[in-house]
Amino acid sequence: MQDVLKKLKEILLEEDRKSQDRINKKVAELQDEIEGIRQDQDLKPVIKKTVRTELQESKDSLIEAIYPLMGKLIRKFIQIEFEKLSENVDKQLDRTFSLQNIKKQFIALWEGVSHKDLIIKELIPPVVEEVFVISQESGILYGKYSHKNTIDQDIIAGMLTAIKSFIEDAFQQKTGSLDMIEYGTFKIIIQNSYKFYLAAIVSGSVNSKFKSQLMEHLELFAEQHLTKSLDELTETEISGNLKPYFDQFNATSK
Amino acid sequence: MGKTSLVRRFVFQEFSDEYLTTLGVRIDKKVVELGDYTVNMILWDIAGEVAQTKVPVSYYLGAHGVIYVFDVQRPSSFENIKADLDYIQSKLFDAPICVIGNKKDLISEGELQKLSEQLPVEVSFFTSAKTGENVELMFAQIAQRMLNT
Repeated sequence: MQDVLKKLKEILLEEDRKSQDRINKKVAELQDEIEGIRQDQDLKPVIKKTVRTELQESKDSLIEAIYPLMGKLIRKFIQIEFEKLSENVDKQLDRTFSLQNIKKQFIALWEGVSHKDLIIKELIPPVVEEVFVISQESGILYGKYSHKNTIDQDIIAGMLTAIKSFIEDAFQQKTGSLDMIEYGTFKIIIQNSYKFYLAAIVSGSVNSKFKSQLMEHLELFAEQHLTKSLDELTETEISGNLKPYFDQFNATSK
Repeated sequence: MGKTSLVRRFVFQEFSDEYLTTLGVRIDKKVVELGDYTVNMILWDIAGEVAQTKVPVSYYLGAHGVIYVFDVQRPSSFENIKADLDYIQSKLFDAPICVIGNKKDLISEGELQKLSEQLPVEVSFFTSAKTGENVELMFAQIAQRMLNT
């Protein structure tokens, strides 16, 4: 009887048993998968540490791997700069005992300018790039001398006047005035006269002697060409006078 | 008051508004054609919100004309208008002054009329920098008055 019951049980539950086996199998697979992921996460810090250690130990190899790319660039740059320096040193060495150099040393002693300044001036000569003649009070541009087209020169003249007024007001010195602004490789040298001020924009190396000469030149220009009343002066006339005056100055100051 | 907005829409602008907060002024340029004449106006846009006596005197000197701008919606911008104009005239005897009520697009014609009657000075124009109304006319008038001086 029991055997019969057992047999019946097996027949009735066969489908369920098969279904259960499938489910068990699936669960086991999922468990394996989860276990695998967990093991990966356990490995993460280990891998990190290993990579860090390897990097530290293989610094030289890494640099050697990158260096061919960066190294070429750096080497090229150093080479070019060294060649330039070498050329300049050669030139100076050639001149050291030349008459020209001895003459320069005397000039430096006589004028109170250092020999080094004279040499630098030769290597990067100062050039007057632009000159503006600007009304002291209104900031209106009355004349210009320029090698190139910068942004609107009327507006530059106005802003220079605003900056000049701002600084002179801020320091409230009745006897002082702004006479130079430095910007990058340019210097803006300002010479005041009665109704106008003249602003010269200079590139290159500007030593104290050059600055002094330029300011004298600007003052002389004002005395010779800016004494008429404001109504009588025209931009065409002033600009026309500026050109030959400063073309000559640039030619003689080299 | 909208001075910079008035300037910004209708002039050649090269420098940013930051100059106003650092130097207290920004320079702009406006070209006006008046018959046979081309008038190049260099505009000194002076930072507002202060009494005129606080503006560096050197910013006034040499000006050939003045555009004084107030905000029609803000009484604080025109409550000292007479004193401000008297001060400016004491520095610039011969310079013509254009008094401008800006932002007219924000109030009605009736309110504008009322404001105009209440003010102790004559308003040259009511303008709107937003719509452009009367702005070109304003620049043309000040240019003409400067030419006549």
